[in-house]
Amino acid sequence: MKHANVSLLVLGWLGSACTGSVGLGDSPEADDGGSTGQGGTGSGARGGASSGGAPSDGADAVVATSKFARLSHKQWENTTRDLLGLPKAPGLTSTFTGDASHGRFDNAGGALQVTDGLFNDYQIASEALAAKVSSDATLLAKLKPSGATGAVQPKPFIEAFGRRAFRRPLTTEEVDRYAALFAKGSALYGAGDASVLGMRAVIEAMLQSPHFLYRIEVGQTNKVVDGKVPLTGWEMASRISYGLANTMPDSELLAAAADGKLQGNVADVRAEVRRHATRLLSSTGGKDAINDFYTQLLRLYTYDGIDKDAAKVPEFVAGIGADMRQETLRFTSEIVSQATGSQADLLTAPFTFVNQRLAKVYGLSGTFTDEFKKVDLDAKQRSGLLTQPGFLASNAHRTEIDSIHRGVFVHVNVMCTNLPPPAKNVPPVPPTGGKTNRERVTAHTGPGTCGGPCHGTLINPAGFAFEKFDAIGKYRTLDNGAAIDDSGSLEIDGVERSWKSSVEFVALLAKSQSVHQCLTGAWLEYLFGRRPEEADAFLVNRVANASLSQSQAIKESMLELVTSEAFMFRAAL
Amino acid sequence: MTIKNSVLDRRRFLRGTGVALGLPLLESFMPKTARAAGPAPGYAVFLVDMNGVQQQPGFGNEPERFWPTKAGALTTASMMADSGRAVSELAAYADYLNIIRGVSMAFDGNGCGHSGGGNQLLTAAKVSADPAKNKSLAMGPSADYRISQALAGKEPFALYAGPKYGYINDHISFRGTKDLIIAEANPWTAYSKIVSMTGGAGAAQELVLNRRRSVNDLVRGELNVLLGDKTLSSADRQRISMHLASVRDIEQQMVKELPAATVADLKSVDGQQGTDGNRLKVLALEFDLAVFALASGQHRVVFIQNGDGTDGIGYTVNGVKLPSYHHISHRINGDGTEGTPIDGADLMHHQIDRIHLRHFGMLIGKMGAVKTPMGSLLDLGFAAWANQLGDGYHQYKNVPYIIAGRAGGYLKTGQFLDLPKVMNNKLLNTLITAAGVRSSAGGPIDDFGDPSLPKGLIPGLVA
Repeated sequence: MKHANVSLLVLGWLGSACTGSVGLGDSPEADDGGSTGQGGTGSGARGGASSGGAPSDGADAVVATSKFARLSHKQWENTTRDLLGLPKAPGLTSTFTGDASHGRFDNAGGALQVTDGLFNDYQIASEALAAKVSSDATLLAKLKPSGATGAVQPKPFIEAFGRRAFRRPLTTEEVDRYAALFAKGSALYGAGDASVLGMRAVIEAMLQSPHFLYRIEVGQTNKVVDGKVPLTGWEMASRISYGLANTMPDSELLAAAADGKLQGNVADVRAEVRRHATRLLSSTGGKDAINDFYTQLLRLYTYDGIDKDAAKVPEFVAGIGADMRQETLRFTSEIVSQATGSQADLLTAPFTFVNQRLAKVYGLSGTFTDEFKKVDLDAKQRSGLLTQPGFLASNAHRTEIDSIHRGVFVHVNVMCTNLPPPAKNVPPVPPTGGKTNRERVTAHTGPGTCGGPCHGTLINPAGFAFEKFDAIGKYRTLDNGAAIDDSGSLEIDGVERSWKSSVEFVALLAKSQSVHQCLTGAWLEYLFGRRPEEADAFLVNRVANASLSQSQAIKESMLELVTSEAFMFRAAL
Repeated sequence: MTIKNSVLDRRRFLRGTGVALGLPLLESFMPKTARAAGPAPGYAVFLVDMNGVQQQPGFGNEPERFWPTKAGALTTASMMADSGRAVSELAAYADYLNIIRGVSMAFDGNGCGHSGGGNQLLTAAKVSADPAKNKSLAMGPSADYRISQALAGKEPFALYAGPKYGYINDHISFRGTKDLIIAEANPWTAYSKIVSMTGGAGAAQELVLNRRRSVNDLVRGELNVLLGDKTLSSADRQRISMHLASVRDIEQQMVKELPAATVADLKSVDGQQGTDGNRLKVLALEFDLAVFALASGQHRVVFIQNGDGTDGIGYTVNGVKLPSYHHISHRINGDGTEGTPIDGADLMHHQIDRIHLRHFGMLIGKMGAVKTPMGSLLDLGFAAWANQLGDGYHQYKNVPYIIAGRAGGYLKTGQFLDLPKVMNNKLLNTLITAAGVRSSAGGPIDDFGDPSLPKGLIPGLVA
């Protein structure tokens, strides 16, 4: 399977040794040439299945994916909470064996494994949860089949609980197997209420079942058309729920699946998918998932580790990294929750949320407390995500700024530039002069140096745009006593663009097709739980073009993605 | 599937006239009635540090401060006489040592020297084209995994000291091509899992283990049905097969708990395991866990990674907090090639090398203190220390490896081998064989790593 490291757009040769191509994101290969798929603004041309190895031509493609998407650790937490009716997520995965990275997000279920260590983790956690539930009358009552009185009967319980645990009805054979286990409850646990012990055994086992741990998708294999397999309604319910809310389907989705509303006529199913997706986007789970998306995309989890030399950066206080993370999450939540909140708004909105510590970084006057409040910023200085202290301070040293890492972040995370690897074993040459940071960095890596082709033309310009923000993100006009120059130019979407300030630079990014493709590709990766494939190019372009040309709301882009055939079908193998 | 092998081996290991454990902390979990007989079991612990060492050739005119001054036999006296060299920190264990200079890694990295070095260090495999840079992976399994699979039929006990939000986290231990093993960074969690897996004690333990067998039977059945799907992709088949193989019935075991003081120490770093201030404490506790896991039969192989791939810890030496170790290794205040020079960075790097080797010595001491009628864990197995890189220049040559242990007499010890260039696959072949792994024909393992590499062992290491 070929991931999307063939670019959608190619900026072309920018130097003798450095090509920056723009892809869908997380594309580690340096450059493999070729350009493609600048799809139209199509309103829904639909295509066939793809192995993922070639860009689709004029239609959304259905990419071959794993039949066994394992729950991510977050999904396991949310699912056990909802399945067992716990007041909050159990928090047990903090000790689970970690997963290797498979892209920008942790939910690439088709690549996640159950290793020796994780099997043990599941086992111990299942035992603990089953014990907790079976010793709590309130929790137990929630799990009894509706209308049941007295001792729980095995099969009704197994059918009801199993339908939620496996996210589909159990087969007769499965019910019989679990009923046999239910009957052994007393022997397995010792003294106690036999029906409670039976429930405990079933809960413990189902939480370790592959049908719980994986989202198994086999589709309606008797209805294959053009290589596309329609999902069953139950599978569709899980795709929607895990994609948009990171948890199991709620009662409405399960009811829709049971009623057959999530399979059948494609137009009807699409409308039903859209209805549920819209509902989930406004739910607590949906909002948590949006926060999770931005936390991973923007690496907000690194903000807690931000450390500055307080003697030279007086605005730094312990805990301010967590404040910065909160600020960005409140900001992204605000944008996404708005009916018109767009990708461009993320990059240009001149407001933010601050508490008293962050207010000092922004140089704001007024009364501030520990509580965050929305404030308008000087639109000549600040503009969206990339002028927030979190991005600026996390890409800076303890006392000095780090233009190179700021530039790399913008290219990799916002523009999806496939930067080639740095040259091997580059000797660290000490700075050789220059009063300002920009002068020093240019002297080492800029045009005319061995790092010129990449740094001089790609990385440094993007980084220098933020030169007026110091190591913690405070606005400044002087560097070492000299006036700061944050102007620059960069080839964006194949055209050389110039700016005179950071605000102008991010405004150019907000109007860039490659930026909209990059951010749309990220949403596809998160919602679909897999890395973008070349065959996704048409779909991504279609949605990105609407985002760019129509200022389509981010929520609407998400709905476009989950109502595409790429989401609603699986490819026949 | 069961883990009978490791349990039986442990019993063999302990069966006989009783166990004399040098470490008081271990006495509490070793059965008093155990008796020893049968062949010596193999054990291995791999400890890896980051960022290279201060050595020559390296940066400019810095003096050599790492290796012994003379090749050949090592004694405590000779190593103490080399007090200016970092390896003198291991003088007390001279009789058990193999210090090996001249080892190279064969392949280029792919955009990140640290990641590419770590990928090859224990695998002798190529570095992946995709993913690349700091996400690069090895194209084959690592020696710790190979040994653990052969001796115990399970994965190595993988531990990690330091924060997990670095530029590169786990990148050294692999099950196979691009199949990374994620190590546990919280020693309290690692310990809790070992204890939990035993299911408690007495009749309660028996109930737990019986219940697990019932559930495991059911889960195995479901996995086998899923594997029966003829349309599974090879990747899905591999993943479900791995899941099936991980379903284990744990035999009733007699593992107890570590002493209360050690347990309290483990608990004290819970949630704070990634801080600079706790790093060396975490590392020392992980050595205790490693010995605990080996001596109790839970594992035969332990892997410990000290620091993330570009370890930026700020060590405190003589009361002074040093700059980021990664910056020191590059001699500048920066993670890349740009930054102001750090005065005295070469000496700081040397001091950090000493810290690392002092801690390796601590591990050696703990393994050596576990006595059995057949010798200590150090007599029966070995501890291997290595650095991810040769030096702060991202060199893949002169990558330092130090082995401590006789591996049941397979290894010649007490020597500094100053070899002409040798690829690390030959060293790994030697270590895998020393641990007791043999080819299907019963011979030594001589073909570990990338198939393009010349086969063989390092003869000078074999007794």
